[in-house]
Amino acid sequence: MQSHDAIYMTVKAILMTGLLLGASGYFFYKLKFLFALMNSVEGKRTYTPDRIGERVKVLLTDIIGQKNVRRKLMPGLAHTLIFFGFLAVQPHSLVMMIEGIFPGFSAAQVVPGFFSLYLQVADILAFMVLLGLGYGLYRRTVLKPDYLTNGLDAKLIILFTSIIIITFHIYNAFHLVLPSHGFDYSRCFTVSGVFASILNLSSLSPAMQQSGLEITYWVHILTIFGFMLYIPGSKHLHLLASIPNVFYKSLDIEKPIMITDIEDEDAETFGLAKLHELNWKQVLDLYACTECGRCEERCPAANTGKPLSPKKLIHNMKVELLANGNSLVKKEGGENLPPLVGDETGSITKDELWSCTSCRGCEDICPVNIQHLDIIFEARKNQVLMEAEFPAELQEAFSSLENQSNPWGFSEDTRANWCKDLDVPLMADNPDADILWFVGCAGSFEDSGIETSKAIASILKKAGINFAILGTEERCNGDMARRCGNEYLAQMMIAENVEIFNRYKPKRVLTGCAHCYNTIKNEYPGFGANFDVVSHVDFIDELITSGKLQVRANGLSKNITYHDSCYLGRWNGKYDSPRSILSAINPEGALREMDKNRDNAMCCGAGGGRMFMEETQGERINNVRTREAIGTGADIVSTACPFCITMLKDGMRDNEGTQEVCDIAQLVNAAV
Amino acid sequence: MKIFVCVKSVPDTAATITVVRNTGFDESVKFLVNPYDEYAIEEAVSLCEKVGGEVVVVTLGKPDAMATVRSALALGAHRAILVTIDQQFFDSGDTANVLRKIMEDDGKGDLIFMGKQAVDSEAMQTGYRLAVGLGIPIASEIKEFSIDGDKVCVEREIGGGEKEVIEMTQPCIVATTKGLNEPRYPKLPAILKAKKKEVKQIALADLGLSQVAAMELLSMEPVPERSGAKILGGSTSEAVTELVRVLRKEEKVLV
Amino acid sequence: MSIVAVLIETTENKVKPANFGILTAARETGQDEIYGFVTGVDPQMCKDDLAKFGVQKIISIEAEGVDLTSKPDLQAKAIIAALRQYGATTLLGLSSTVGKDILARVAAQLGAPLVLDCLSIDLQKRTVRKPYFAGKTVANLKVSGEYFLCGIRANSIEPIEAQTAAEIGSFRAEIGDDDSYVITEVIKNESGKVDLSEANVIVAGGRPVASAEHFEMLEKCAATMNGVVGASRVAVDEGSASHSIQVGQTGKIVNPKLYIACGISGAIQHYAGMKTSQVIVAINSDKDSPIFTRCDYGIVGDIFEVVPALTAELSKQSA
Repeated sequence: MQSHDAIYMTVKAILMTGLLLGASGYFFYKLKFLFALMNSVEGKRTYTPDRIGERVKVLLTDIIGQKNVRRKLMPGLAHTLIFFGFLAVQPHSLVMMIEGIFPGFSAAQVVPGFFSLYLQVADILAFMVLLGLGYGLYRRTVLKPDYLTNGLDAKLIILFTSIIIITFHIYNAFHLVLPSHGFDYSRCFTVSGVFASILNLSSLSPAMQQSGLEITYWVHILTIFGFMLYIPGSKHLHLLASIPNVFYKSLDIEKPIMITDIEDEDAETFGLAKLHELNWKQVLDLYACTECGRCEERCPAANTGKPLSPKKLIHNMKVELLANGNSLVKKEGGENLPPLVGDETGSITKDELWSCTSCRGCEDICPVNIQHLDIIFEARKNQVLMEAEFPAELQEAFSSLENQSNPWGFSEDTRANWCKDLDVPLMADNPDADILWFVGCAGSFEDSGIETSKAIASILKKAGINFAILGTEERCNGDMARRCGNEYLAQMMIAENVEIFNRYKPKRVLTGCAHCYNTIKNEYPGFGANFDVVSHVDFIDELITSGKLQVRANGLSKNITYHDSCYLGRWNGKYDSPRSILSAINPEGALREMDKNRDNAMCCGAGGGRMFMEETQGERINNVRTREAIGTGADIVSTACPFCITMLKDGMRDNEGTQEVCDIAQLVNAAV
Repeated sequence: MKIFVCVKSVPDTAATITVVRNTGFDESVKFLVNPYDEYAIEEAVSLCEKVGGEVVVVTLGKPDAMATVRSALALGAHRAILVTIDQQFFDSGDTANVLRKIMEDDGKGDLIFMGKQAVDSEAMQTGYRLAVGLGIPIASEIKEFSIDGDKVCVEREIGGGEKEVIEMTQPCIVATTKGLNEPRYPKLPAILKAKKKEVKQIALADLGLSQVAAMELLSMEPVPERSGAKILGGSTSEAVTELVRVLRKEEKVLV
Repeated sequence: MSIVAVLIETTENKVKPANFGILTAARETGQDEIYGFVTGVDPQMCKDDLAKFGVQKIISIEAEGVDLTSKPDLQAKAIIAALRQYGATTLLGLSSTVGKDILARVAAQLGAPLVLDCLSIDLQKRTVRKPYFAGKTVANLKVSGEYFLCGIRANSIEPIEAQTAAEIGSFRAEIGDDDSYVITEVIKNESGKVDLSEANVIVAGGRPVASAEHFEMLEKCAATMNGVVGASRVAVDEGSASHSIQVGQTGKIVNPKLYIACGISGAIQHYAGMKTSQVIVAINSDKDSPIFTRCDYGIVGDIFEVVPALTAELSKQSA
């Protein structure tokens, strides 16, 4: 080589080494800080990952397979292309760095066969990245959906990535025209070859080609190092955080709310008040957020004009966390930290906090499994238990729950009045019943709930089931109090019911309400009552399929639409049994699904305790959903939860709809 | 400042009352702080938070009333005295006598707050008797309260859209009603702390007072629940005439 | 023959009609002499009304140099002196806010038993009937002791006339002044309106009451009964009523003696806010509306016909 080249190569080697060490050093320094920050928070979360084999499989399907990302098809495909393409390019960039540090080294010489194959694949995959990025730009400049954060961060990432890929192609293009020392680049570079033609590289002089190569090299390398410096502070942190977050995700759909130890005499605070009370998994959630906005797209509050956006909630908290990072890592405690909830200073305003209907749309769709509700529920706990700050309408509901064990304040000894003329057996008289039917507050006191209860009672009798209800021994299951953050009240009520359950030791517990179902099935075991719980839709489906309940196949011949209740659907994965019931009783009619159905169903608006709060901002969630139901053209809107029925009936009235709204049980009862 | 709050443990107004053995009722229903006493507690506690001092709850009740006393402590009172008796209904004169003795023994207060009436026996007079016993003034059905130097200024509504503005000397008794303030919802730390606050329990007999028991409950009858609507038929004018007649003469809800 | 004293309440120099029922109860034995005690009003202005209902002597209670109307403790003291002077051991009065206050002061100072909010009384047996548990039960009580003091609920006793020739007299009590409790001012509330959660009569509107004019119709009706207007959440949503008068689970919880629900369906969220009303009247054009299973009296009809008719009927009779 010429002496110029020798000097240049030496300088290049020194620079490369320095830059590599510097950039990696900084990168790892930042990562170390983030890791320390994650470990510095004081929230308790004992979490030993179980079922490791399944988890490894999940990593393969979700991370490598990009399964969750593709639930939204087009952006998902684009991301898959970007993901694989970018991965494909990494080894090449690494080789470039090594060749820079060790000028004598050339991968093409050392492993020509393998390298050639690799380059062929990488070249094509890299171009796919450009296609994916093109779609990303299209979304951000033409489609511009509301829920997509379209800030500098996103644009810089697209810029960095594009430069890396384009310089990859151009670098390879130069290799095509420069002497290759026996390595046949022309076989490898389908796409880069096109770059070479378009840029007409062969028309340049060899000196200019060599310079071009080096310039491209530096642009490529510097962009990569720049990106490395940029990643820890940007949403691209998800590259690193998403993998452990997916690994640690809950393998089951069902999920109980975290249990707060309210008996803890040493606890100075309950729930989530400040950043240092997060637990490490929640910090990991914050790191993993890519601001894709799919949660906001799903959120019924965000879509009806409420200030809540799950994405903004997570993002604001992440910003707050990093802004206070030094204080947290030094474990300075909470005095210098701002409160999380607050209209002036907090990262969540009170309106945002209380707008949530806990429909779980956000958690369900999040490609990196962020658990938004963990933060919302814990923040609500703090607001209620420590600050006694909550929407004023709830105070009456809390008192009624505490004093008469139902949120409306009806005298608790009238709980069984709905069936006083119906000859429904009580557990006290029939303690060995096969089924303990937990009727629930709505089923006992609320008009539509009572209609459903009567239908269920009739079905159980017609099927000859040996069942009984708790009657006045039954208390509210505690769901509403829990979702409103009143953990103390909820645990009191749960403890009462647990004691009753453990006394009767039922063989099976049947519920008529989605909220009772979710709470008794998934949260009661944490309090010592672990029984086989079945929802009325599953049970009725069982009765029909097993033949215990004979339904007339043409019992109904109407068009029906089914509204998936959040607490059966996204909280417990139950979508099929109601549909199978409907096809059994309505084969002549059609099931007209709403666009938003199954896991994509829109919440009715009653969850998260919102049934008992005023909805003053934006449009009513139940009205939007009802209009969707009306839009299917179905004659009947069916569902499987008394709160959904109330919200949809109200919605019918407000929208002057004429469709009938009823529970599946009522339809089945009419078809028996 | 030392403030006494007289609190009664009464059945929840949402509960069904079942008459038992002619003069008793099913006491397994939920008991809680008399709703009018909640305003008294809130006013006393807020005042103490501003000027310092202690709020002492005094209750006459059965031993089970302890749960209610703890609720009152969770709302911010500092300590309590529970005089245990064995019946729910206790003559108001005798009650006032017990309260007087307790306050004299414990050290008289600067102010006494209580609800204007209990929602069970609704005597509406215990405070007045206590006032005479202690030789201090009382104002009842108070919706506004403030202290101006050594005078207490209160307001009460007397119907027909009129209200009286009253000045009293201290010490005095203030009997509270709805609208005076918004009773707080207890925070969890307050509920937990309340379990450990001092509650002095004294048996009635140990006070050495005699009871007059000037009123005897002969019997109690339940008022039938809404038994089903009576739809008034006929033409509009017929239905309306009948409705007004019924409301005036039978239900007696119209003045 | 003994003397039964009755505290007469007046407003703007006129005897309140509610006193007539008390006087009727006072005349139970037919053998007692009825004395009507008045304070702070010219007894001549009350003579005709009181004579119509059987008062033999109208006594103006006074004290030298003391304004008894602004000092109820002293007024009670003067009344006690009068009772002693006349040897009367029975004192009846209205169980109104003012009446309860005076009677309680009299009873406390005398150390005598008192029953307030009586629905009926028996002077001979010295028993009374009064509500216990916020109207869920009625208690029969026997009073023992020298004195029989009762505050009787307005309109619980049918007034029956008994014309007498009423004499006017006065009683001057010898009591010193005392400033420990002074009414310094009586303020008239401009709107004359009471807060919904304490109102005795509420006329509430639902979906069909969709404008301010419609609400005026309800207000006119309420005004005849000294009541106030409420609304269901639907009416508030439509914008025709403010949230401050919303009755229901997320609005105000009310406990009136009379609740008239106009065009309200009666769903549980609304019912939870007014279920403790003593009497619920429903007016609705839909006979299948749940409100009709939750009321005491119902009229199936168009509220825009029924409510004005009701208003007319109410004004007619109270004139």
